[in-house]
Amino acid sequence: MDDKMIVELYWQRDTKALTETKQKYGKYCRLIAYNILRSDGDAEECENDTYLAAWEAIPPNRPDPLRPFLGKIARNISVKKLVHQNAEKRGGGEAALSLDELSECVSDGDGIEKTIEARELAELINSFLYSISSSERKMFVLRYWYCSSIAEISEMYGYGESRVKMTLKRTRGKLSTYLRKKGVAI
Amino acid sequence: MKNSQFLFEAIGLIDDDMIEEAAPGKKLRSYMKSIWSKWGAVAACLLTVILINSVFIFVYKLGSEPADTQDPAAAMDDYTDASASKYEIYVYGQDVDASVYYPSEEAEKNAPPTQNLSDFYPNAFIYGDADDDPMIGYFASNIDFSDYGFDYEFPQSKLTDTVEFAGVTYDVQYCCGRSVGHFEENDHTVYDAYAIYDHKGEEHNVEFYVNLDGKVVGVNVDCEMTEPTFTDEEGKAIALSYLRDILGDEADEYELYRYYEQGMYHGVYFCNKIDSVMTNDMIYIKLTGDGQLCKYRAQDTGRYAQYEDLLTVEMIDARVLYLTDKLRRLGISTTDFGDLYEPIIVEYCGELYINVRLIPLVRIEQDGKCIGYIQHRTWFFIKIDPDDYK
Repeated sequence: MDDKMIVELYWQRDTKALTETKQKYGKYCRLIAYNILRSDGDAEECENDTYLAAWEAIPPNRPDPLRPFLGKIARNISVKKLVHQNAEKRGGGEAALSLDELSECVSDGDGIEKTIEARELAELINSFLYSISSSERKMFVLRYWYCSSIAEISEMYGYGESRVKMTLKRTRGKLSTYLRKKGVAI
Repeated sequence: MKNSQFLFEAIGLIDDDMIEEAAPGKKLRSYMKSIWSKWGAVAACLLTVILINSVFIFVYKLGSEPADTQDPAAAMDDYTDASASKYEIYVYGQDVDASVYYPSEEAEKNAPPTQNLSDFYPNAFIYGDADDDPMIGYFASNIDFSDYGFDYEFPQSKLTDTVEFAGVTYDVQYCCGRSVGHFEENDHTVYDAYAIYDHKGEEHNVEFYVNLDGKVVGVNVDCEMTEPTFTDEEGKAIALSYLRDILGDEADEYELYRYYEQGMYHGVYFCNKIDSVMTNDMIYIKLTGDGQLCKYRAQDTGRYAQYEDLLTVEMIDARVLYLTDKLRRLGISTTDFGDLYEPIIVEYCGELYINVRLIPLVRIEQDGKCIGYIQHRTWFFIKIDPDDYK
């Protein structure tokens, strides 16, 4: 079933929308959740929460395409869960590693959100990502959006892990420079 | 909220198009892997290591002689054991078949004495995969190759006790094989090998960079910089006299022009081969305020210019197209110009030129066949009129 028909089912409040979503994008959402949480049980829970959140969000939204819309929901839910878990104990997983890596792009400490809105920062990151090469961009998104592991990215690209690490490191460096040039006090 | 977490959350809001574009093609593959496949891989690795080591020990016991410490290169060969790992190794952008060998603990204890290499302590060696391939590089102990690529070896046998420069022989107090990262190709930093020699003079200490051909390609004089006491023309004459000392008659093939650094010290000159549209033969000379040689660099340049802000990406792109066309007319087709790197504007004879560097390598083809590459630090000069950009 194509995305438009699935979204239409949501608008009609037909619960078949959930089964169709699960069938088409279940694995995708679970992969995102698993990448962040590295737990099958937690990933499954987040996947189900994603369907519920989509049910709440459509309508009024009419996402097209549906996949990134669901992906964002799955990522948000998973990150919240990870933060919750980390409040109790330091969690592992690729998201924690990604956070460590991203800390190279910003200063230690907190308070950046007082100087710039997340949406505004996202726009700058968009501009930056569109300015770099396609392969750099994909690797960056895989690592810091999908929280894919270095090994997984290497396998997808057929590159060595050292090459992936090096590319990501340089992209982080470029992002840091870019944000500073744009006056983001990071 | 921690800054890194805020950044992470902002990344979560990026455009849908990019999320779609990067959507993993091999979903769930890694975490659906069977645990047996992982243990199987571990077992296979262990078995391989045991087998390789067994062969090594067997061969050693059959009568291999210990390292000949009089021949450092041969000694290094024996310094390695047979535990090899495969990595992607790129040499000038070309993937090469190579293996990395790590010295065993025993080998490290019995490491041969190094000659003139007090800080040289590699922790792995790279050999070509073919039987007769020589060692092509090493991982230095203080370099994480995953971040920095790898070093080329500067053969110890090529290190010398003296350096000839501008007709003078300098005694060397210290020297080592080093490498200098100079450009990125396919996300790999590639390194050239140099020997670095220190000479302690009566007035100044001097550092020489010598390439594999034994040519001095760089000189740093440890001296205090002061404002020049000479005019530009006088400085040019002084720089030219140094160039003659260093290159002899070959100096006549070069033109000198002043490097335009507004508000900065002006004792800097570039030397470029005459009538060369495209050249790798760039020389940089820096003079002290009293006209002494301070720096000499073959194929190296500064990076700042007064008019840098005038350039836009579109202007540079347009000039690259012009250059591509010019090369085509010469019967050379070029592909993959890649990124331009740090364009600068230089002044020569009262005219302004864009000086651009192309990265990565440009593949040169003739009649459909690759005849070579324009390598790193390929500089192009294009005359410009600043009025065009106002």
